[in-house]
Amino acid sequence: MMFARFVLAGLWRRWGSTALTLLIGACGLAGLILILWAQTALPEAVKARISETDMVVGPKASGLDLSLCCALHQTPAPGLVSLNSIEARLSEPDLKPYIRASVPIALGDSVEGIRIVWTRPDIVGFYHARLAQGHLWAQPMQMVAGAQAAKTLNLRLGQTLGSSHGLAGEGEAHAARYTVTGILAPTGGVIDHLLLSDLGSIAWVHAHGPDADDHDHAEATDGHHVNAVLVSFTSPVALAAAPALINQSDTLSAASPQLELARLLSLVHPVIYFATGLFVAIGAFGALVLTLSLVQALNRRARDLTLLRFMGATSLDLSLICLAEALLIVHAALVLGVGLSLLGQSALTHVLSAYGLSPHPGLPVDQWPWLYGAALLTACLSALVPALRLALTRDDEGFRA
Amino acid sequence: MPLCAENLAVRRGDALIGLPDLHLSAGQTLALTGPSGAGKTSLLLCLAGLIAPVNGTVQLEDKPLWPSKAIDRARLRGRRIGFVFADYRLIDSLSVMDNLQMARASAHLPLDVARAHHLLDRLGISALTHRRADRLSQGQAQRVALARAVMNAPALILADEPTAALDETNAAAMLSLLLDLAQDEGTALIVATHDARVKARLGAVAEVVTGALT
Repeated sequence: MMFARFVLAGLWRRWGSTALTLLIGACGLAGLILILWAQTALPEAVKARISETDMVVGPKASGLDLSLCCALHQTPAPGLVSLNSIEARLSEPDLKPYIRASVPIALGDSVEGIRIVWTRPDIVGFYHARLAQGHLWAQPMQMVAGAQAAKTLNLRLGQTLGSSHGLAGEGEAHAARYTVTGILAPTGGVIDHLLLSDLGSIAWVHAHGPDADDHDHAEATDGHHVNAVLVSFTSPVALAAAPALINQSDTLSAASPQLELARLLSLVHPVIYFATGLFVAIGAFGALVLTLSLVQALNRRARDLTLLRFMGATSLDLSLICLAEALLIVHAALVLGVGLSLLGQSALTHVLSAYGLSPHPGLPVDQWPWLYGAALLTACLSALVPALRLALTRDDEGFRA
Repeated sequence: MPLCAENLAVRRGDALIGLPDLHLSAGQTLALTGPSGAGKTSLLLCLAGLIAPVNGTVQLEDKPLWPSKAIDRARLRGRRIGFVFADYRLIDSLSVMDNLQMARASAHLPLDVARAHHLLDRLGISALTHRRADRLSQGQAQRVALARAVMNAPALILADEPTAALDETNAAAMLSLLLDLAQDEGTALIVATHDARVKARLGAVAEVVTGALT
C-alpha cells in the first residue's frame, strides 16, 4: 500500500516523462490492435456486403471490374450484354444445377451519388431483404429505397425525386421523376445503399422523357440488355466450376466477387506487414523509453530509495518497487492503447461507411493473451536494468560523506 | 541492554576508526565526538548495520547486528533503530503521514495511523499531517524527521549532526525535542556531533579514535 503510494507519487512528480512513456507505448499498442482488428474486420465487412452474390455474369470484362461494379457498386458499369444470352447460358444443363437464384441489373444513373439499380422485384428476396414501409414497385418510375439510402436522402413514401446520369451525382439531370413506394429494412448488405426501380424505368428516363439521350446505357432501354446478372449458388462447390464454364464464352464473363476481392485484399498484405512491423517498432521504442525512464527515475530517487533501504527495505523490496512502476505504466498504456484503438476503429468505420462498408468495432480477443504477455514481458525487461542496479547497490551507498 | 559494541573498528579509506566499548541502557544518551571528517558518520552507519566493521561485534537488544545475515540486519535496523539525518531526508513527494508510515512499511510492519497522530500531536505538527514534505519549512521538516525516527518505537536512536545546519536557538530547540522524545519513548540515544554545547547536554561522551591501517 505505502510502496504503491510511493510509486504513484514518483510517477506523478515526473509526469512529463511518465506521460511521454505512456503515450508512446499506447500508440504502439493501439496501432497493433488496429492492424489486428482491420485484418479480420475489413474482409468480413467486405464479405458481408457481397455475401449474397456468389457470381456476377456480364459482358467481357475483368473479374475485378465486374465485382467492383456489380457486387460492390463502387465503379461505373463495364458495358451491356443481352439478358437473353445470359439467361440462356445459365439454364444450360452444365450450369443449371448450380443456380439457386439470379437477378438482372442495369446501372448508370444515380440520385445525389446514390446508385439506381434497374432490376426485377425479386432482387429484394435475392438479398434476403424485406420492406420496412410501403410496397414494391408495380410499374416503371416507382422506386424502392435501401435503408441507408433512404436515410441519407431523407426519403419518405410518396416523395418524388429526379435522377442524373453517372455515379458522381453531378451528371446530366433527367426530367422524369421517380416516386418512392417502399423503403427496405436494414440488412447490413449492399442493398441498404441502393435505390431500386423496374427495368422498364430505363425506357421512361432515356427514351420517353424530353431528354431522350444517347448515353451508353441507352441500348438498355429495350429492357433486354443489362449490365450483369447476379447469381447465388446452390453449393459452394460451384464457386470453382461455374465462372470457369461461363468464361469459355466469347461474349460473356463471370466472376466470383468473393475470390476477386480476396485477391485484391492479398495485394494489401505487404502494406499490412509493413504497418505491423512499424507498430511493433513503436512498441519496442516505447519499451526502450520505459527502460530509460525507469533508470532516470532510479537516479532521481536514489536518495529516497537509499532511505527506504536504511529503514529496513531489502534489495528485493526496492526491485519490486521498480517492477511495480514498470507494470503500472504498461497497464496504463494498455488501457490507453485500447481506448485509442477503439477511437481509431470508430474513425475508420466512419470513413468506410461512405463506401458502404460497416466493419464492427471490437477488440481482437483471440490475440489478447500474447498481446498482454508481450506487454508484461516488456515491463519486466524494462525493469530489469534498474532492478539489477538496486540489487547490486551496497547498503551504505548514499550515506557516506 | 539496547546497545553493546565491543572492540569496534571501521575502515575509512586508509584509516582505521575505532570506538571505546559501548554499553548503552534504555534512556541513556551518548555524544559521539571527534573533529569534522574523523569518521563519526561511518561509525554511526556501522552501529546501524550498514557498514561492516573490520573488527568487533555489535549487539542490539542481545541480538547480533555484526556479525549477522544482511536480511536480519535490515529487519533489525528497520524495526529497532531510528535515524535522524543532518538533512532530515524526508521523501519530498509524500505527505507527512505517508513519510511516517513509510518507516513502518519499509520495516515490514503494519501501518499505524494512531501512533503517527500521537507523535505529530506530541511534536505540535498535527496540522501538517497531509502536507507534502517538500512544502514544509525547515523547522517543520526537523520535527517530522524526529517523528519518523521514533515511529517504529526503536530501542536506539542514532542522530548524525542533527544541529549542524541550525542556528543556536534552533539547535537548542531541536536537541531538546530529541532528548525529550528519547526520554518519553525510553530509547537509547547516540548523537554524532562536534558541537561542545550538544556534548554538554548528553549523558556520556565517546571520542572517535583514528589510526593508520597497518
